[in-house]
Amino acid sequence: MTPDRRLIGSVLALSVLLLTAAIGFVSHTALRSFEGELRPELEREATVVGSIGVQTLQRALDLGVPFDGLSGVEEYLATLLSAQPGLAYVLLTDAHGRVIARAGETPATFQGLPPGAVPPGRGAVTRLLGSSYDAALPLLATGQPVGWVHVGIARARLDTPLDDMRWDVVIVLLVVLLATAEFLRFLLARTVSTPIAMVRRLQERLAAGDWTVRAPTDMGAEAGHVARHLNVLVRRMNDRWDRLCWLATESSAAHRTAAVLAEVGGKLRFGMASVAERRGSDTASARLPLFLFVFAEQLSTSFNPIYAQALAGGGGTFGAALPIAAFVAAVALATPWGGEVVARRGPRSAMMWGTVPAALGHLGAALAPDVFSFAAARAVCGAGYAIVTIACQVHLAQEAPQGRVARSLGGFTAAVMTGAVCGTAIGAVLADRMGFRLTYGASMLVVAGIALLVWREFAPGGGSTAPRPGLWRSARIAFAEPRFAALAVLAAIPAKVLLGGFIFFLAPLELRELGFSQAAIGRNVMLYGLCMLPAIVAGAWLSDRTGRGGLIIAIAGALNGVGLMLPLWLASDIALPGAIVATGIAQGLASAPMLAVVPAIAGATGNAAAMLAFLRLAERFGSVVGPPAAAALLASGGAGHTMLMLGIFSLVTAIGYGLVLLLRAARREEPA
Amino acid sequence: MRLPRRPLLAAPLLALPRPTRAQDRKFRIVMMLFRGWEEACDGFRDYFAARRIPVDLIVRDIGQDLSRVPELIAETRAIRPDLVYVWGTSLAIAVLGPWDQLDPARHLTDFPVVFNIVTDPVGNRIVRSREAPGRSVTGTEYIAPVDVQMRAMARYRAFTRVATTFNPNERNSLSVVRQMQAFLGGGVIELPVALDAAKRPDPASIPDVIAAAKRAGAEWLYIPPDTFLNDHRLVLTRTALESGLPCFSASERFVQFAEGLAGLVSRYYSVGAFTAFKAEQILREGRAPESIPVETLTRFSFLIRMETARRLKLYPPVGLLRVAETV
Repeated sequence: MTPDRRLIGSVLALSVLLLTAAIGFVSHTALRSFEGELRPELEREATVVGSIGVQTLQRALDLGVPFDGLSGVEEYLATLLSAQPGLAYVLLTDAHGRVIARAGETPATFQGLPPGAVPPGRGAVTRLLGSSYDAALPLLATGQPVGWVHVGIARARLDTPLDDMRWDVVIVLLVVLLATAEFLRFLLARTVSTPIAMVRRLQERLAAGDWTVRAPTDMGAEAGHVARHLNVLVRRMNDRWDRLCWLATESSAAHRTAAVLAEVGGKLRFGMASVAERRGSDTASARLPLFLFVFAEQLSTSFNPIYAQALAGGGGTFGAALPIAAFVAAVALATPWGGEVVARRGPRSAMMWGTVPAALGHLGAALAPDVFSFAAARAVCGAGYAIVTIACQVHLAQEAPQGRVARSLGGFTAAVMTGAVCGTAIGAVLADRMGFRLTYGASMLVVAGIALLVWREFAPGGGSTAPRPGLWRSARIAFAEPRFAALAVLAAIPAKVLLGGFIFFLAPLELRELGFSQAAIGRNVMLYGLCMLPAIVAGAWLSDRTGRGGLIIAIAGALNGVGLMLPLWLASDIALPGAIVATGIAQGLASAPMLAVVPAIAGATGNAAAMLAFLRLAERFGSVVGPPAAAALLASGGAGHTMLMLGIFSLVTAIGYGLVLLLRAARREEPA
Repeated sequence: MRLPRRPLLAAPLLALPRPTRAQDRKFRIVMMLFRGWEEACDGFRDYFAARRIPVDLIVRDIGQDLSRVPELIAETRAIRPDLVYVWGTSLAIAVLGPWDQLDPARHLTDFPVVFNIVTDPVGNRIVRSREAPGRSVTGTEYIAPVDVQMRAMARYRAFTRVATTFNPNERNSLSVVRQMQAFLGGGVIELPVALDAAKRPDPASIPDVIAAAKRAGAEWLYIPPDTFLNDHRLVLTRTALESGLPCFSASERFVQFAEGLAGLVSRYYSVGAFTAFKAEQILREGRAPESIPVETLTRFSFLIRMETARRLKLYPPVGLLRVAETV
């Protein structure tokens, strides 16, 4: 572990500890007061329902219907019960507490009020009966109670929002920790590790005798202080050298001294018109805009199809799939163009350009009057997404220290996944509280913030006008290699078909069908990213350790397929989160090996960069095809059928990929 | 079925924007009545007053004597009114004739007409269809669809056998009984009132009708819209009550002004105001009656007479009391 990583690790650990303690304490207190406030609310609700029931029954009594002549009471109580969701029971007892009519589930311990119970002046007699809050209102004849209407609300009503709240707290904690890590990484990089690296480089140059360098002085706080001290030191040294040179010319032993100084001057370099040392940058600081950008984009993941369906007028699944397909198609189409933009203008400029369509797209989505304009807005957003992600990738690669490009690009995946996890969860909570449109508005604001951050914090430049090889030629070379073609067609595309079709399209819709709240949908979809993060690390470790990346990819595809077949054996409300977890683990496991095998395949051709680009393009293709394919399957046979077909697809392609690997291995052995 | 707590009174119609321009002269309307002035006529008159439409109402009542119709038509032609108002099914059939066999000598064809308190105007061939009357006549219906009435009756008290009595000379009653048969099939016990030697309905036969209904095991006595029964509503409903037979009626008077137990009814006053609304469309907006559909109020009142319920010990279900009007 390098010193800066140790520093980040310990600062992070401390923050986690403090944040967990603080949030834990606050949430514990909040949950307790929540229960305290909710109880009277529930009792009030029971009282209101009871008073409606009593009003009608009392009217019958007032019209001369005797208490024992009341008819159709059970039917009436049933309508009361069904009119207000969340009621456990509504029942009528006589003055002795005997149940005359009931609707709903009465607790076994229910006992009516004893004879002679005094009716309250206002409101109801409220009690906690076993697992229900009970409110009893009297029916009066000549001022005396002749019966009581009881309304019960199950305590489970309290538990469900409390459970939701606990989940929200856990998610907020998780998101805060992940986001804190990203911001800390950025801040520590800007204020500590980058200046230290700069000072180290400066020291090396000074040690080598180059006293012409200057430290950049635009760094804040301690780092700026150190830089200014260094500059003072360098200037004094230069001054003294100049003075020494002057003294040498003035002294009696000038000739001899001048010769010594000339010899020293040949080894050292002094001068005031010197060039300042570059402040430098590092991969950690380059991750923040990417994290924020993916965060903004993923705010809408959990409700995109639901919002689209609402805009489409509630009906067809194709309406819901259209915006997702438009987004992914735009990303796919804009990827090569985005690469050109980055190459020509440099990452900083490209990032800033990319935020323009992204922000406009989010704004358009927020204001969309119908599903087609929404799809168009998402397409604009997709173009921005393509440019910004490529710019970040190139920036990370440029800033990566020699020999650590792979780990640096691993940071790209980690930032994307962290942004996805945080964005999905927070987006669901925001949508639950502010609505879909305002959540898109929040995405736009975050994107605008990114543009500002990049403008202030990133060094310009990095563009080049050098000619690039033709697109078609690179494609021909890449796909002529069977192992690459198999990787793209049998592994990369199926993985993204499942991601787009299942995680982004089918899962939110189906979870809504199962009655999950918006926040619960977000939590479940977030499981994907949450499981993927450790799986990426595990996949990379396994791939390095065994050197069998291809096998891991095939096994992951098969695991994904089996996961999607879970509805065959389990109930939907368990099978669906299970399938999300399986997809997260499987795709995480395969992601690092997929990148790792490309250089090996490219080896002879030296076409690794182009192959990586085409692998990404293949993935985009899978993402485009996924949602409409899932929509078509959903329309033809329901959610269970769709998951089963996607599972079989993943399983078959994984087996196919495994067979290709086996065939290649067998051919290699034959000549031997 | 969901019934409103209150009937649709004339209030919404009365609350329409008032005319901005004062009428120069009064519209002359001849009101042809079958059995005198009652609540529907009040509603008709009050609508014009509330809308500040000046009208001159020329009222003519034939006192249930259809032989006076030719004389009434002749007088109306002499008056040359802007509009004719006809009350009741029998009078409308006699004055207007069948829409496809008009005889200008016997039927009124010279002026626009609105009819009120008429049963089944299409079945009785007063108009071609409700949507397009096919002649210079339009109007309102006041009876809820028969199937809806039967369901409303069952909601108060489920039944398998229902008796109904009627004047066999009244086509409006016969039309309703036919629809009952079509809806309920064998469960309907038809008990027409006996006719005397002059083929006129005999009020003395009413107690026999009630006794026959009880003997046949009827759980309800359904009273269709019928002028003869309306005239003898007190005898009919009281005899039924004394025999322990609940009465369900298609019109409000059997419950409101007699001793019937319940009924799904249009308030006569509201129907009268609704008819005046159609008259306004003809008089003020210049619309041809042919282009104005024949309609009924979209909401009905479930009327319950609580005193009768108490005496029969047949209390309405609690759920029904939420929507019913009690008298």
